[in-house]
Parts: sequence; C-alpha cells; structure tokens
Amino acid sequence: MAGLGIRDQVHNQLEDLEGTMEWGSGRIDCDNVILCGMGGSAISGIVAADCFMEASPVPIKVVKGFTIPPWAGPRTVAVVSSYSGNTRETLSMYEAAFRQGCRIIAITSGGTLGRWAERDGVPVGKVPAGIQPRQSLGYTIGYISSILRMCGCGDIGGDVRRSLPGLREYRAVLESPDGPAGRIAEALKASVPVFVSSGPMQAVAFRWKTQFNENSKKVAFCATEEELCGCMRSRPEGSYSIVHIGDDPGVRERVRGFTESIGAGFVDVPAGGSCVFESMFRMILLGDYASIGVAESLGLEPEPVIPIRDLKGKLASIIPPGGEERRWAAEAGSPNLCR
Amino acid sequence: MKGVDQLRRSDCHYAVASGEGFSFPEAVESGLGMSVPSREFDGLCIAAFGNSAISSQFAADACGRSGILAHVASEGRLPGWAGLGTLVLVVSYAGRREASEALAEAKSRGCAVGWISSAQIGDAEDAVSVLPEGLSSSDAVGMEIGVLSAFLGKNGRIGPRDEVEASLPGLKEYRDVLAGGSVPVGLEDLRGKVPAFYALTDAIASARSWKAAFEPFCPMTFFGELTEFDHNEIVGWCSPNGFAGDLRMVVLRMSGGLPELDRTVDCMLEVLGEHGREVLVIEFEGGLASAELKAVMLSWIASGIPEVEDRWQAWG
Repeated sequence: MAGLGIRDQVHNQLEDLEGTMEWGSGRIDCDNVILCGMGGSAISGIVAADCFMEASPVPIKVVKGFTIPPWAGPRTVAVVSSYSGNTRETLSMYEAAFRQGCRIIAITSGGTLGRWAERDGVPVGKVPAGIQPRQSLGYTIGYISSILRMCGCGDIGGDVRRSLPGLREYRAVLESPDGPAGRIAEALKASVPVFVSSGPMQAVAFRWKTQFNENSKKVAFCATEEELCGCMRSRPEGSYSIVHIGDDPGVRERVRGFTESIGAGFVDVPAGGSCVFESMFRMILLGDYASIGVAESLGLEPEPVIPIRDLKGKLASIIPPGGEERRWAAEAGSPNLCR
Repeated sequence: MKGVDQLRRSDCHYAVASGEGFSFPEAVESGLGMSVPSREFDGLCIAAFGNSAISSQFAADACGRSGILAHVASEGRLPGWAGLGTLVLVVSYAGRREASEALAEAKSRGCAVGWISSAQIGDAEDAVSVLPEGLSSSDAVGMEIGVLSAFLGKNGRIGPRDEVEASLPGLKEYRDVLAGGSVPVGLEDLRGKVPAFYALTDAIASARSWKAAFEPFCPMTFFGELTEFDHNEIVGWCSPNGFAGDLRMVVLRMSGGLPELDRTVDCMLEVLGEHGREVLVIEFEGGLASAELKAVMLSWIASGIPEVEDRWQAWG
C-alpha cells in the first residue's frame, strides 16, 4: 500500500469493498448495534447504517464522541473503528464499551486499538496501513456490512455483488479526463459548496462535505432540503454553489428555486444506479474524484490535512494515545468476545 | 403566556415583554405541567418536522443520557425495527402534511403512535398534547420540550423530565441576566452573514436551534458537531476561503463533563486561531442538559436583538 497516490486509493475502494464483504460468518444474537468512530471511520458507519436502516429489524446507531450511550450493554454489538488505531474519541469509546459489557469488534490498521483488541481477544477487521483514513471507506463499509449481516440487520451482499460491474464501468467514466468529476470540480472550485439531498443520499452529502473539506481544503456544508430552504432568500456576499445530489425531481426543483432566489450557482448531480447501494456508491466515487479535481485545479495537494495533524500534535503533547490505558484482563468466555 | 414583565428602564437594556426567547423558561415549565397520556412501549422513535426537530432532538439526547434508546427519524424515515411495541411520536407544531403521513405510516406498521402539534394532525385519541396556537417559535420549542419531558416521565422514563425540571431555576436566572443586558457581544453581526454553529454531538439540538433562529436573518445557516469537526471540517475552516468572506464560525461551548473533551475543544480553537480563523465562542455553564437549554434560549434572544433594541429606542 505504501506509495499509492490518492487517486489510486479512490480507485481501489471497489476492490477493497469486495474483499471484505464476506468477512466473518455465523450469527451474533444481539438487541442493537452501535457503530463507533470518528471522521473517515464514522462516515463508513453512517453510509452503512443508511443502507440498512429502513429494513433492519435491529436498531443501529452511529456513535461519535468520547462516550457510548448508557443503554449499550451485554446485548449490544459495538463496532469500534479507527483507521490509525489512535483516535482518542474511539479509544475512549472502546473503553466504555468494554466497561459496559458490550460485545466488541474492532476495525483498524493497528495502533493502540489494534494492541488493545489483541490483548482483550477482540476480533479485528484488519485494514492495511499506508492509505488515507478517509480512503479506507471500501474496507470499512465491507467489514461493517458483514458484521451487520451477522447481527441480523439484513444482507446487502447481493446488492453489492450485482452493483460492482456497473460501478466499475462508472469508475472508468469518472477517471476519464472529460468526465463528470472534472466538470463538477470546475463548477465548484471558486465557491463554497453546499450539498443538498434527501433520504439515504444524506449520508452521501455528508461524505461530499467531508471530502471537499479535506481534499479540496475549502469549507463545505451539507443539508437536507428543509434545512436549506427555510433560510431568508437573500443574496449572500460570498460565492456559493448549491449541489443537489439525488434523483427526486421534486426536491431538485425546490432546491433549484431556492438557489435562484439567492443568486447562487446550482449544480444538479443525478445519482442513477439500480439500487440504493449502487446509487450511494456511485455518488461517493464521484464526490471523491471531484474533490480531488478541485484541489488539483487550485494547485493544492489533496492528501495532506495539516490542521488535523497540528491538532493531533497538540493533543499528543498532553496525553499520548493509549497513555491512559486501563487494565482489562482478557478472559476466556468474556462477553466482550464475538464468537 | 406570561413572560418576564417589563423591567424598570434603569435596570433593563432590552425591552423584554415580547422579545423572542425571553419567555422560553415559562414555556418549558408550562409544557412540563401539561396533562399527558400513559402509553406502553418498548422502542421509541421520534419523527419531527420544522423547528420541532429541535425539541425532539433535545428529548432524544436526554433519553440517551438516561439509558433510553430513542431514534430520531429524519425526514420521517422510520427504521426497520419500528413495529409492534414501538411508539412513534410525531412532533410538528405547525401541523405539516408530512407529519400526518408519518403517523399513517407508523400505524400501518402496527406501531403505537402519539402526536404533539397545534393542529389536528392525527386522531384525537392519539394526541399526546395539543399545543396552543399562535406561540412564538421559541415558546413552541420550549413547550414541546416540556411536554416531551413530561410524557417520558409519565411513562416511566423519568431521566429527561428530572433533567429539565432541575434546569429550570438556572434557566430563569440566566434569562434574567440576559434581560439585564448581559448578552454576549458580536451576535448581532451574524445577520446577513453565513454562520455555522457547532456544538457537542450530545447537545446538537442547541446548534440546530441557533441555525433555525438565524434563518430569517441570513441567506444560509448551518450547524455541525464537535468533535467530529476536528476530523474533517477543521481543514476547510483553516483555509482562507477568500471567495466567501461572509462565513462565520460560532462554537457553543459546554462542558460534557469529560476533561479530555474540554482539552480537545481547547486545542481545536488554538489550531483555528493559528490558521487565522476567527471563532465566536459562547460559553454555557452547568450540566449538559442545563447548558443546552440555555443555549437554545439564547439562540432566539440573540437573533432578535436588533428588534429588541429598536423597541427600546422607540420607548425613548
């Protein structure tokens, strides 16, 4: 993995997903599932949860922060995901999950989370090192989907397998020099983008927001139609573009109307796809490539995220990751093990 | 609705008798005191529309803190597990069409249902509370918070109600301080700009409230979560964004009771400052529920400051 450029990392996400979709077997009897992670790891949970949410008979909750809900306990499967294995919030959630008796599964490339998981006998979905956390999406969605299948939340494996050929074709279109990613990048490079969507596409809009922040180095927002169109209809001082993602014609026209009323640029991005999963992943790929395209057109390196590095440096100088490790003895038959 | 009486001119910088937000504590208190029905349920799902999303998110967060799993159904999308044994609460002060549709969908799945509105959005027998018409936005949100807390308490989920009841004295005291003129500076400058309001994930209702309160006065408003912000958005906000000089970042600072959380927010603000980004930070004292209610109340007061000042000037 070392030395892969970010475009290659985006390209590989389909194969990464395919490689982890069948991870694990059997059934985990549980009452609910929490998906614990931050940043790139949280997005995988958000996307996966949205794919499963409307059909899953088991509650699935995405948890972000330093704690997990008090209701999480021995009948909860806690999927704890940190690409680096050193994300403070996620380590804190791991400790809380252990304390509250949850059944834990970790997803990581190593770090402190990897060490703790090995120490505690917690199963680990291993992600290779050397890529940007936000580009490990394929791996983590695959692992999370497998875990949700084992927890009785449903099975999107069939949808994924059927979608892969079409997604590969679409990827080739996106990688062509005059494809839609380039056109979107051109339209957005000199404005603050606002990504608007409805239904399951909200997770995609959230992904676009984070990718444009991290890759394109610009402020970006996401909103539902209701959140956006309730605002005062006046022209902002700055330059903004409203990007509608999805296929609902009613939402599209209302968003277009709002955009015209405030004099902002409007970009429509139909999702296409034969099922919810395919639509979402088409848009994820498009957003990834478009955000990189914006960075390149502005002469910026998409990969480095210096403010995040600076913040982690400040925090490390206070307490190193894992420096406040609690002692948890791994016990045979521990309720924390998912067998 | 009895609000804060107009204070003596010499004691008061703001006309308070009809200012948006100043009667928020009394609205919450009224809601807490309303008669609510008993319902039996295992799972809880709250579907809210418009500004009712603020009160519903607050209630869901309070449920979470109390060990109750409560799902917030965005855009009325019910989760797959909502069925027999699940109570779907639909909240829409204005009585949106989508609210009635969500009720019908919930019933079709065999869920128990309840609704809170000023309009007849469902069957009378399913009403949890019919709210008075003509409430201001802040009073409607406040009353909904009170009613939701009362309902949860009536039905064995006492944590949220206890939190809100315990917060009321401090909330009124804070309101009186604000009415005396001690409103954080810089808030009136947000009008006409594009502000984004950030709060802790567990207090996200407050950020949502600020977004909603400033909507009538800004071309666009946004909200987001801390400390998720540190993992992506911080990169964008640390960049110049020269073509959008009207962007404003506001942090609603509350203590989550975790030292590492406070340190993380401190470091985040340092990094933003080092990259030249100005941030308006507003601090709220107290436990999370209390701080969040203060933040919700201030959002409405803050957005209405210019009108209050105009009234004050008009009174000479």
